[in-house]
Amino acid sequence: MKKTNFITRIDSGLKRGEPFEFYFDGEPITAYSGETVAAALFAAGKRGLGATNKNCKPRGYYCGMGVCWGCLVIVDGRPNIRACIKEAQPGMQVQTQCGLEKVECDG
Amino acid sequence: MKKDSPSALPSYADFVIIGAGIMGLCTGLYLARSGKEVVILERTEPWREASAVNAGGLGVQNKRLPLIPIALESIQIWKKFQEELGGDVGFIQTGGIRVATTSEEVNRLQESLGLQREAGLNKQWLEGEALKSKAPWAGDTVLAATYCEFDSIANPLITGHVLQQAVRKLDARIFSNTEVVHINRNVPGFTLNTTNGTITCKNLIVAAAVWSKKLIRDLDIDLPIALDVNIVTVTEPVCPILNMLLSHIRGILTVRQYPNGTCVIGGGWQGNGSLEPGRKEINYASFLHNIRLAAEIIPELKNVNIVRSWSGFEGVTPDSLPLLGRLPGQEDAYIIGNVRGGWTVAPVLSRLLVELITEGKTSRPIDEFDPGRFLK
Amino acid sequence: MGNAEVTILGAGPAALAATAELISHRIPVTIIDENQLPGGQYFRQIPKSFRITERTVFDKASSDYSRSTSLFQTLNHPLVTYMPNSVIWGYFSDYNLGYVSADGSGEVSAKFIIVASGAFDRPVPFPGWTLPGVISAGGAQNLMLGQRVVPGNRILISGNGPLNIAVGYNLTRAGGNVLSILEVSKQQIWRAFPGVLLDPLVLFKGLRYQAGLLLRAGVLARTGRTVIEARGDKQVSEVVTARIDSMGNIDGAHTQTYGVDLLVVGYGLMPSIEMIRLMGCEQEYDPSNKYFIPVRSDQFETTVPNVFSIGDCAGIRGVEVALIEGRLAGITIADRLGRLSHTYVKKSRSQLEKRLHRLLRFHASIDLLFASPSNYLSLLTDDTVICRCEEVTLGELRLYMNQGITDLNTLKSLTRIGMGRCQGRNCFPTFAHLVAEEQKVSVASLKIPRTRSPLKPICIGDVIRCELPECSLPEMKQP
Repeated sequence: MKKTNFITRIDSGLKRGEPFEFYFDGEPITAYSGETVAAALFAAGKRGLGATNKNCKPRGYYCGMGVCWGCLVIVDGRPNIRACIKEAQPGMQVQTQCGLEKVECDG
Repeated sequence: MKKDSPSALPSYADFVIIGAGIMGLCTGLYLARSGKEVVILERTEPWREASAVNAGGLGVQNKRLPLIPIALESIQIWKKFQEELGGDVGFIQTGGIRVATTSEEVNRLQESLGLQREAGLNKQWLEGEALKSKAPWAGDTVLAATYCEFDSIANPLITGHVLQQAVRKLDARIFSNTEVVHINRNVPGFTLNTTNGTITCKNLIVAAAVWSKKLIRDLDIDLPIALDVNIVTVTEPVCPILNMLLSHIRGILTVRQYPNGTCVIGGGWQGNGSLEPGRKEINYASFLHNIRLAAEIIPELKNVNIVRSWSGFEGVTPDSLPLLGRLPGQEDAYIIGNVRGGWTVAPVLSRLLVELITEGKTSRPIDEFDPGRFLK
Repeated sequence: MGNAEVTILGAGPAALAATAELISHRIPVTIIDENQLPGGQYFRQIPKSFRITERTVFDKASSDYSRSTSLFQTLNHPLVTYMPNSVIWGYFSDYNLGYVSADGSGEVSAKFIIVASGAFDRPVPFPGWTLPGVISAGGAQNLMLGQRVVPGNRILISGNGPLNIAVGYNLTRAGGNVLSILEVSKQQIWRAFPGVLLDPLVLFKGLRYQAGLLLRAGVLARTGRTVIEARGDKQVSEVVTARIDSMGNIDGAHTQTYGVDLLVVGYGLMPSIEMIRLMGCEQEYDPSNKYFIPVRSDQFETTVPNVFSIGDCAGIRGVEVALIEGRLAGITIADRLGRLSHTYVKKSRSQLEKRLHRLLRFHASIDLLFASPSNYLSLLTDDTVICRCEEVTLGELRLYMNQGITDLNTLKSLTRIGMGRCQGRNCFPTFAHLVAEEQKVSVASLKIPRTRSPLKPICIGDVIRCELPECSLPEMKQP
């Protein structure tokens, strides 16, 4: 479990439930019940969630409200899922979405 | 290439075409190519109505029998449009599948196989394993289908620009925001009062789709052009699901997927709209019926998001065949269009009209499309 | 779903205040919201599975906490039908709304509709704005307050408006290292007087944020500057900043570069008025705030009878205004339904309106304080992506504009700008400014394309899971 070298979760005055793991391109990521995929990934230091269809440009979280549809990831095989809306679940398989599906991008 | 400004309407032109959709522009193109002086008058902006907002399918097997040979020939012209007109129209010969989902529909499909063969179109019958192999995306509701290698697609969003440029290159002129308010019969010729001035012409071609009905009343002609309000729905870009043009034997659905991944659904259940005041809206129930049918036939669509939808106006005749030829009782006034599937057959229909105008005869019989057929 | 007397769209402060008012006069309310939990943005809640052990700066101040809690309680009232996780995707004449949720879809028919759809971050494109690690101010707040996650360590905040100071303060308290806050406006404080004294509580809160930032992180907003480029390979790693003047001109001579892992961009909020436009309500351009707002009567009714618009979706004026407008709309409707005495209406309206006008004058002063250029087109280079969804750059637009094509619809068709999943929300403001400039007209005079259903992207599988209404079959076409 990779950790970032700075604080990524605000703990003061807060009690979360038990942590669990989901997977991001195969890598285990810690999350807590109620967290969105995007939040858990930010906490793990991950920002790139995929790449664009036309030009293979890196993309990630932007508006945080489900409006920009830029934070798209593949969840348990299903693409076009907004990471900022989708709640993380134990064992969930999240993959970066490059264009329309899971493709290796050199972009 | 600058756009013409409304203030430049000339006082006279040999040929005036009313309507800058695909019918008007193709007719203008061929007329200009044959050396004629052409002015095209457009009520709003060119390429704003059915030509711009249709679902983009260039089907052959979903046309009425008399239009099959014309559709086949039109596909060949579409194929060469990019080279000929100098711009991308998004043409892809995808091939097409026409489906039947009930036993009655299967019978109709069987019938069409024979009838269309007589009209010059050979299709492949698909059922069972053959169907699964050719159309792995098809849901269980599809009992049988026919495959036609000539069904194709093109992109309405970009074709208009290419056609307009080609027309202007031949010195034909297009005037926007120029609505014809009244047609006055001179003998010979016509004087048109428009919202942008007056123009006199020797020959008049009405290519104004469903708006033609009102225009030709000025010449005391009443033709049955009814209004269809078609709903088109577009999805987000998704992985390739469908690699051919899908149509339905009852004419109530077409679906195609473009290279960028978006799926475009053309539905048969109608939207809401009327010519006055010209507002078009999707209809709640129709919208649902259209996409439900699409999702039944292509189950993978159930996981896909719809991003846009709209309604468009189409002018249709009682027999679903075009109006093509001289307006009844007129020597020098013509009409073209008002046919389901005009998007496909426009190139050949307009060429036929120009043949009639310039040579007095056509390379194909067009009697079946004579506007006067409704007045007998 | 059926008929409702009053349907409210949204569940933020304005919507909740309207709900509370209406049910206090025994009027049933259906309230439909996209989010899982009520509160909108201002009263954004943490997940149900998080527990607050001690109120901190990331929770609302005590007064906010108790009143938001009591507003949330109204959703449990027997007269309230609360539909969370439900997206309104369509409006059908007259007064019928199509909704969809993961459980299926349906139609709600309402006599009165209150639209309280809130706001979203103003999109301002600049080179590199699409890089991972470049997030909006609203996006930063959601992460910190809603999810209790610190999205970065070396942070720059850039843009315009008071929200950025709150964001900076929160990030600092969360342990982030805020390098600077860049503010476009000159912050000419005298312009904001005396109006800025009209809401001392909000003023104090704002000053406290700035003081806190200064004391904790040594950060004071730098005025007249902004980010002109974000750079990085797979995510942002540095940003370039420059001076910007009140006309929006960039002075490229005095740039400064910062190494960052997070860039927060906040150029203020814009009303989410697509729903209102879909219903056919008229809108007007507010030139000082540079966004469109619904045309409303002084009772917040739009040009479509019985359709009301309240809160930030009618203009960005903050949570206190939203709460008052909610109550006032509730009073208006209850009055129309004959539930109120004339004296009650007169008294409560007068009290609320007095407070409202004070607050509006306060907000107008804040707006003056943060007065910014009319557009940010100077930030664009040919390579800058304007439409994030379809990746349309300024260069691609210019290709057609240089051919003399200036019509909005034609440019849209040719480039696909605005045709992606966000349905033009993030590109249209910039696109409109570019077209207006090209046509040499004001943005206000542009013919904006109609808003159409679906209002948001909707999943086909979810939307067809419903009782399919009767619909006459189209006639069979002949062979």
